[in-house]
Amino acid sequence: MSEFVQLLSEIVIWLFLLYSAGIFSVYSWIAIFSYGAVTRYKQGNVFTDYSMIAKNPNAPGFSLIAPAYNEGKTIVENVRSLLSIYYHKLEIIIVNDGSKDDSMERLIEAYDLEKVSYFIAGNLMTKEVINVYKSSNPAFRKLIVVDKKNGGKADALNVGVNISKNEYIVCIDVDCIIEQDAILKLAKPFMEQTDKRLVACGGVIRLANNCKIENGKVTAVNLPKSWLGRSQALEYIRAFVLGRMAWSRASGLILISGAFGAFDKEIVLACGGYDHNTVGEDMELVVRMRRYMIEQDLPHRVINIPDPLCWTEVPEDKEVLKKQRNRWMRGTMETLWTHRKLMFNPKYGKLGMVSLPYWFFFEFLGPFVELCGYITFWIFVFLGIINWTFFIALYALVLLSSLLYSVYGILVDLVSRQVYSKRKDLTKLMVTAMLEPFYFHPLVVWAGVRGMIDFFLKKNGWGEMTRQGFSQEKDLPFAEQCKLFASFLLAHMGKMAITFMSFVSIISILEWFWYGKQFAKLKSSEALLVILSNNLLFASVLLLIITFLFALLSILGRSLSRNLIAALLALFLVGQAVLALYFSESKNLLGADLFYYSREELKTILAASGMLSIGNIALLFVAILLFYYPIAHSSQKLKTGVYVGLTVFILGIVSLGFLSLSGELRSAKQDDFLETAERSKLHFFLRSNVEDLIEQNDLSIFSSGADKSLVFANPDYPFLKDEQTADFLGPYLQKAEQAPNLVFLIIEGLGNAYSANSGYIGNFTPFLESLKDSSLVWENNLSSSGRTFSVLPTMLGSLPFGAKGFLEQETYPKHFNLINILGKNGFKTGFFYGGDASFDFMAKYLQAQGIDQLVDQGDYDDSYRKLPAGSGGSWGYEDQAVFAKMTKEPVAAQPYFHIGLTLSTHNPFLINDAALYERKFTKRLQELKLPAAAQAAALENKKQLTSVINLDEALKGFFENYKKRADFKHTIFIITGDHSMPEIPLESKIDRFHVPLLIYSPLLKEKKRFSKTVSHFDVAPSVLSYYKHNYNLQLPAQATWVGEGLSVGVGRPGFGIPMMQSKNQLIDFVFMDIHINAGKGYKLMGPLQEDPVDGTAAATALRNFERYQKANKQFIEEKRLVPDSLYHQYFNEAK
Amino acid sequence: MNELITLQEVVLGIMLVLILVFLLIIAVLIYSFREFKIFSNQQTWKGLIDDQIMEVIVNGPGVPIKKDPGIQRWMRLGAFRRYFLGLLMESERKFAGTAVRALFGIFQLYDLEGEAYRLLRSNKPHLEARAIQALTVMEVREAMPQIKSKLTDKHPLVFQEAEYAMVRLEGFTGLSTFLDGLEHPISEWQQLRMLNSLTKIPTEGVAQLENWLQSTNRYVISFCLKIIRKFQLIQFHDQVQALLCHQDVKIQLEVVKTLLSIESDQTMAYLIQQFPQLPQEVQYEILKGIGYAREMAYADFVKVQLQEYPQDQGRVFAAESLMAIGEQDYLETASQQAQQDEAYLLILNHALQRKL
Repeated sequence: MSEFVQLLSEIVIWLFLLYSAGIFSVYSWIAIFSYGAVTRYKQGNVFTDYSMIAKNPNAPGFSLIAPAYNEGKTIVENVRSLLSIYYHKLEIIIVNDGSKDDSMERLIEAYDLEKVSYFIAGNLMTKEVINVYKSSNPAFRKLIVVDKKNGGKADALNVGVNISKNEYIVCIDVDCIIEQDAILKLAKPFMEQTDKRLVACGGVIRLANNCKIENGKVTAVNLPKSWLGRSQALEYIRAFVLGRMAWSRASGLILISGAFGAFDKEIVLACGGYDHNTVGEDMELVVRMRRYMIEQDLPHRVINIPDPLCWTEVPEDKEVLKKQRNRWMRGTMETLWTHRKLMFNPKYGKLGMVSLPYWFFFEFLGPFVELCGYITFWIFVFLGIINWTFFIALYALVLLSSLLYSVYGILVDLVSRQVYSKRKDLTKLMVTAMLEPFYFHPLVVWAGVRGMIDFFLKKNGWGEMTRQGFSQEKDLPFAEQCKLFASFLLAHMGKMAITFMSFVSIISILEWFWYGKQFAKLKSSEALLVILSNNLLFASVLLLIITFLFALLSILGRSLSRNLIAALLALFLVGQAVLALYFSESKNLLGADLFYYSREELKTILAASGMLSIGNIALLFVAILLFYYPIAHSSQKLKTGVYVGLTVFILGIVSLGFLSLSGELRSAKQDDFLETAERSKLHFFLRSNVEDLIEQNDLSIFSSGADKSLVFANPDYPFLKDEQTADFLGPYLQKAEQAPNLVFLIIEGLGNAYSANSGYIGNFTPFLESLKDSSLVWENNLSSSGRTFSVLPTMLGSLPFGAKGFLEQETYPKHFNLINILGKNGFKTGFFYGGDASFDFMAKYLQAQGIDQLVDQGDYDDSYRKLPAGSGGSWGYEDQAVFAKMTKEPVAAQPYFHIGLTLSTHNPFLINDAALYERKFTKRLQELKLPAAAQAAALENKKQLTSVINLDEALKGFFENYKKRADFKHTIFIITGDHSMPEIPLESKIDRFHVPLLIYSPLLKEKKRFSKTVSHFDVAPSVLSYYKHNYNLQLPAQATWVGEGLSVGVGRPGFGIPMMQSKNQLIDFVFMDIHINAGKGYKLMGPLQEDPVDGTAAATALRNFERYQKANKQFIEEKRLVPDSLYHQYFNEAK
Repeated sequence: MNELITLQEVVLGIMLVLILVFLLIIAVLIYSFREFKIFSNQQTWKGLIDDQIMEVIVNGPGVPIKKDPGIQRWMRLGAFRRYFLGLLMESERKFAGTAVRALFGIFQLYDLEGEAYRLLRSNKPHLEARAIQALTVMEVREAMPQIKSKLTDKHPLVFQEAEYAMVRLEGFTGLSTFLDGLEHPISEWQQLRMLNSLTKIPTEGVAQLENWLQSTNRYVISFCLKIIRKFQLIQFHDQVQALLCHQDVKIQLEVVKTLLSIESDQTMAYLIQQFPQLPQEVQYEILKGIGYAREMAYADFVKVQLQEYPQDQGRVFAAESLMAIGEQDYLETASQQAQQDEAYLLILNHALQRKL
């Protein structure tokens, strides 16, 4: 990782740590300070006789102002509740802010209201007052009702201030339930003021949700039923009992809740009343009052008392809650902006130096910083730079600190007032504290962030805050609920489906266009139609499945489930695009094998391909967001009904049926590559993963059952057999004085298609072709896999695959292979590789087998050249370097077995001296005189074939240098490819595995070409048999070769040739002349051409495939190949 | 270059804080459980104590009080004794006469007086204050010397309770033990409590009141004016009148209220005479006062204010006073004539409480 990224990541981490330390410190201070504040209040008021205030003519007067808008449902009972407040000098002013419902009519009727002429003394500018009402009933003489034109809450409050007669005003929400002695408790702090004027006083607000309310009074306190409500109960405890009390004690309180707060009217008027231009008018007023007092140099206080004076209903619907928090954030931002001059201004004392900065850094920036934290975390994960220990420790600390703060809040609440006094309520609160960080908190953080965005987008206003009233709603019948739910599901799913399918179509068209640029055969409109159809078919099936998921997730909440589904669909779209891109680069479908590479391996692959860059990752995020937002918003913006959703649902069922019965669509032209390219990549990926999951967990319900005909010679060791491989090589090689050296040259991605005259691309390995004239050549040789991971175990040990390739196993079972057998027979063994040998666990395997020498990228000095890095990292050292290393090995009397594995003919095919080899490619192309179609195909794969030419030249150089060695004459070279390049299109399904195999040596008596179909499984048995029969090498009596030897190949029934396309795909098998691929049979003819055959003809092959799979499965389960006694006996004797 | 702090050290630091936080959670949970236990116990205690109180009150003063064994068992707990004290004090407010005597009996029986003295010596302000409250409510006059010594305590909670105790137990005499030369403020709340406890003013108290009216502490003056108002001490009229020129507006307001309460036949004339020099709030108080006092003789003055007062609020008070005085006809006539002046018409209609 570049130093710059490293430095940047450290800076980011430190910033987060500093911020966390800040929050931790502030909250610790709040916790400690609030406890003192609460206990001090309790100690000072525990035996206060409030009734003294109630009957005293000297007690201050209060005007209770309650704005009301469309509160018709509950306003009469709310006002009744207010009228029962126990205080002598009280007037209750209800301000009807232009309600559109029948609020006024209900009030007039209930309280015998009459319009009166009323002089409004106050001078605050407000919207027009239409009428003032007073009751003709003396019982309601305290009540004044004002009807005015709509102007918002702030405007309504200002009207109340103008009308009020008393020296103190209490501003409330009309639907709050006020405790009967609330005004008495509020009056005391105002009466206790001496030198410092008390300008505002708040109390604790508690939740009325689920409480028993009779005649406007809370008679039984219960926790809200929903987790959302309970989370808010906890939040209110923290906010009021801890936060407000601490700030109150520290004289830094700048917020008195708009739901209940008392103010000095004279100061409110002097400040100009509430500000209409903000949605956070409560906080803004307090800040302005404090500012005024400071500017006038008047000592003052703003306090909060911990008595619960007011009960309010909090939103238990997520949408309403989000709107509320959105508004709170906007209110905070508006206030901070309006009073920005005070920030860090020492003239304003604690207000400017402490309170406002706290609100700015922690209340305002908090949600944003947290969101940045989440984003930063994922970026770090994708870049692979996350230190999990640090992250987990920090995350655990955050969670526990949150829990501590909540639990502490509950404790202080217990100490102060014990509102929730039932044990089960306290327990529920504790549980809520544990769950809150995962559910409620992210919700309010997101709402806060949206509030920020809306602030900058200048979205003002309150939003619709639906209130249920304090009475409970009647539940609908179950059938009705189901109907409503189904309508909701189909309606929203339909809308999202339209957007989703549109995107799928666009991506499909882009996919076709991109493929067309690279491959001529994909330019046709037929290809477009097929690609589009396959993608849409699968998309329909996906939508069908997601509809059910949507239904399930709706239990968590409709809005949440909608957003989750939109995110999932966005991810699928990005997946579709990424997989299409992958195919265009690799010419291969990506399946579950993705998950069988280790993280390090994936990093290496991605880095080498140049995919792992900050730009690409950022692009990925942008793409996800670009897909997410239209899908998420389509469910709200598009005006479609239930029928669209129903259509989508039915389409999904039909598509599922179609795909199950006849599979994906294909072009008329039979072409394996075309067929693969036209498939839905996402479908393949997901299906491959599901099948792999089923296989891993043995979830298959259609088990084939044991076939009694599939018996093994040794049921305990199904692969074990007597070592009777014929000596096929002996007659072709002259006898040397001692066992000849053995050199394997395994060429990365060397396929027959471009390294043989019979190859359908053309022969781009002129040197290799010339070498064949002096070699034994098998023209129909098969590798054991479509990737490199199995070449070593296959060639060295003729080993079965196990679960995901032999090398993937945690520990390797004892077995015989070329390394340990030749090693025990006096050979020095060595492996030479230009890259990281730990890739695919090669080093692990070789070292476990006791290899004497392992050379990889760490063993090259500066005299060797690495392959170019491109935008990612370099794979390692060029083939020339690997060969040079092998050539420079000292000549010794002891025979050696060396394995060289090359690298340059691997994606991204970056080579040194690229220009030179491109010229050679062009020249070669001219020499070959290929037909037009073949020439076009060659040009389409120019980069790959250029690297092949480079490889061929490297081979040439290798042999030229090796010939100069004294031991060259006594060396046998076996040259092969590990698999055909997946990036070069296949003509048939077997082409993936068709690789050259030649044995070259100065000891050869004659050259020969063999057309028998053999495989890499046959090499080790034949080589060992040669050494045994000609040089008396000791071999074990029994072995576990999958192969039968080069003399046999598939010529007689054995295990056959199993082949893995990738680490999780064992779907290819050759038995005799039948090739099985994905359950279908193909007859092998000529130079590995094949034609499909019917089921009957393939039956034997299929059965033998099953036999192999059974043996392999037993190997996976039992983790053994040979008996320990055989193994130890051989190696002890061999000593 | 060596790093100042390695990642491992940061992780170690975080782990240490994590352990600390975890331990704190445990501690808080234990403490919460303890608090909950106390709360639960208090429900039991309340039952026991309420039963004892009811039994004693119902039985009447002649019947000896028997100690409740349940209460005795809990008496060893300090938290219970304090709770017991608190309940007794709350109960004292609810009852009167012999019932209160019964409470005193319980107080003595369970040696809660001893508990109160212990709290008084605790050196914890809130406990000392509670002790003073208890001894005061239970009328333990023997505690007066100790309570008196608390008048100079530096903690407001303590000296305020001591002040209240002095007044409650010794009336005006108690007041004079600390009001002379008092320097600290007395809040409206404290004044309210003490005023509530003052039941009479002794003859010798007059001289002291005169002194207090001259105090440099405006809170003392304010309190004194309230006393004069409460006890209708008309002999102080001239001294009070002299305070109308005090620099503090709040004192001036109190003076007006007091004068209107103890007014002589010259009071109103004096107030009207001083009216133009007085601050706006005091003028409002005078205008309202004329209405409360129904001073018909000064109707003309009020009418002038109705016409000419610069602020509408003042005209409103003037109109309301005229209405209170009985000048409804005048107001109605004026309202008929005042069609052009919307604000004036509104004021008149407001005072007339005209329905629309």
